[in-house]
Amino acid sequence: MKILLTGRSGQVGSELQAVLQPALATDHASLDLADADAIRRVARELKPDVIVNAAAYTAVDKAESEKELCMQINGVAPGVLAERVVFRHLRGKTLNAFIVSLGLLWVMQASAQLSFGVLDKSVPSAVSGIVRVFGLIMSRERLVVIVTASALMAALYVFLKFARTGQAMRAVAQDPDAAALQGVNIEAVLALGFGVGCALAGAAGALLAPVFAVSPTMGALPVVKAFIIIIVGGMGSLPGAVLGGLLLGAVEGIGTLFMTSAAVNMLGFLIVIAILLVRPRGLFGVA
Amino acid sequence: MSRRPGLSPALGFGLLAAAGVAVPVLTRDSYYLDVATTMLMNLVLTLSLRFEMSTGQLNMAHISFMGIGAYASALLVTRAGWSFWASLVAAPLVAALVAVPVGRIALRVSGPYYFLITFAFLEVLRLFFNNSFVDYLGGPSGLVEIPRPHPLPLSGGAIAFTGKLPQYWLMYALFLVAAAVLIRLEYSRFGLVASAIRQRDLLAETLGVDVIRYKLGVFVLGSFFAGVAGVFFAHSHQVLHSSDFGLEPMVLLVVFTVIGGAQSVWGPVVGTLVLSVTSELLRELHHYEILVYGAVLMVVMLVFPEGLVSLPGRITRALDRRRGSKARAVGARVAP
Repeated sequence: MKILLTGRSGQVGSELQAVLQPALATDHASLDLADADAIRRVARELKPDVIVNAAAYTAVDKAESEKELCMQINGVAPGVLAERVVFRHLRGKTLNAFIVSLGLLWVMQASAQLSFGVLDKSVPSAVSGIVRVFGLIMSRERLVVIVTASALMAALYVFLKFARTGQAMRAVAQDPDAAALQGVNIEAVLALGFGVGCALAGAAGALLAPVFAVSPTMGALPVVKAFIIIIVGGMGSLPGAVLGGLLLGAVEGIGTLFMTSAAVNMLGFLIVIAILLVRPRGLFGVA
Repeated sequence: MSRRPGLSPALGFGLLAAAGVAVPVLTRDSYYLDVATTMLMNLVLTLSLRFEMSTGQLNMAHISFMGIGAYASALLVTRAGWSFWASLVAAPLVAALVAVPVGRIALRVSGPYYFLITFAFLEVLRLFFNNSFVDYLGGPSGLVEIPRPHPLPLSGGAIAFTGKLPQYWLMYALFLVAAAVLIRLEYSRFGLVASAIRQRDLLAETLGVDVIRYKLGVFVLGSFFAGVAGVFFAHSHQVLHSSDFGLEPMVLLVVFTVIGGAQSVWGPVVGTLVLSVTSELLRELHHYEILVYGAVLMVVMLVFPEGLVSLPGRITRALDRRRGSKARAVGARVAP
């Protein structure tokens, strides 16, 4: 692994140089961090895997008068260094990620409409008939949905709780930097987390298809419901999501006995507002 | 306080005002006038949305206040018999008044929770417009038969607002007022404080800024201008439906603003103009319209994370790098 160390003449830098044995160690004379082009040139030539920036503008009393220089070394230089190693990405830019995913949603929805048409399509059910559970009459199909969904949730819970990859995911969620220091491959874990989430959404779609109907926009309603459930249950908590889902289902089911379905829908969002005010992290959410 | 780089506010405002005058000079075609009028209305909405975002909060219920202004004006004119011109002032004030308690509640949380709570409010209000007081608000079939703006009496006659052209001029005037106020505020002490709150609200608070009151003020003023757009919308479309103030049009406002660049006051202007023109051009593609539009959003956001307004700054920086001038290369930032 090639390491580039800056600021080797400083206290931190000289210690690090002994420990890390970098491929190249620079000081103020050999690499001026106020010179962004010089940084890029060195980074391009050396192609380091890691850059340890131990240099800093530390003349605090002169920082007022030498604002430009101070800004370049402490603000811009790490940025330029980071730019060479890390690609610009969307992580941490929630709004940008939101817009990109919205664009993706539109592209995928329109592609589905172009290839499959805009009309609802019914999907034949794999199982038919009804079943009585404790005197409750229910279609076999819905029972299959309930059992499969429960199994998937249990599997996800076990995976996150006990599998090493699942533990790595939770570690990255808690503190990406600490996880990386323990040797967790963050990029791989993030990609896998995204993949597992999408796969589960796909499974939900497959389960819903025979019960309702399939259309390119069938996801709109479940997404809004999922939004309510996650706020109520708490972000990042699987038991919270299960409980939130059951709660919302109960409120909607029982609520329609007393009020119109529109009023029940409104109630769902009023509950969201109340929870966000009283307990923003939801019933089971962690920080 | 040093002068910030980028477009000077007076020049930018002048360009916008001139462009607004140029449209009816160049064309009287009712299609183009319609598109331009809608653009000006959306500009009022995105400028005021960005104004709220300048304190670091994305208000997903912004369009709800447009709805409040629209429904309030429709009711004031049709039920209470008010003149349009009185309602043009009163209805946005209603939106601003509603914004006070809503803001007080919503601003108790911040960051993603603020986004979520305002989104919940958007849905509550949309369902309210759709299902409550159906006799007054029209319910699921919408509120219809809203009259056009009443003729404006002037010395020596009156201006009627039946055609596209006078309606364009009305929206243009409303836009000029909103843009003047919001751009002026951006370049004032007010804008600096907003920027301080966005960057580190705790620090701003220790420096003596009453952050909550400040955010509430921004929220109320932003809602007032959303209400102004709502009044125009009600009386130019003459029909109101709850879905006009739902998630979809709200998301479009966010898209306009962020694609343009939310850091700059000019961002929403660039975003609204470019994307409105793009979507009009894409109409030719019929079924492929949404597909291409979605792809455009993704590409722009990945290539310009700071929005389209960062383009000139990036070009100058690239040129500077080529010339080997290092001083400006790192100093140039996105225009404010």
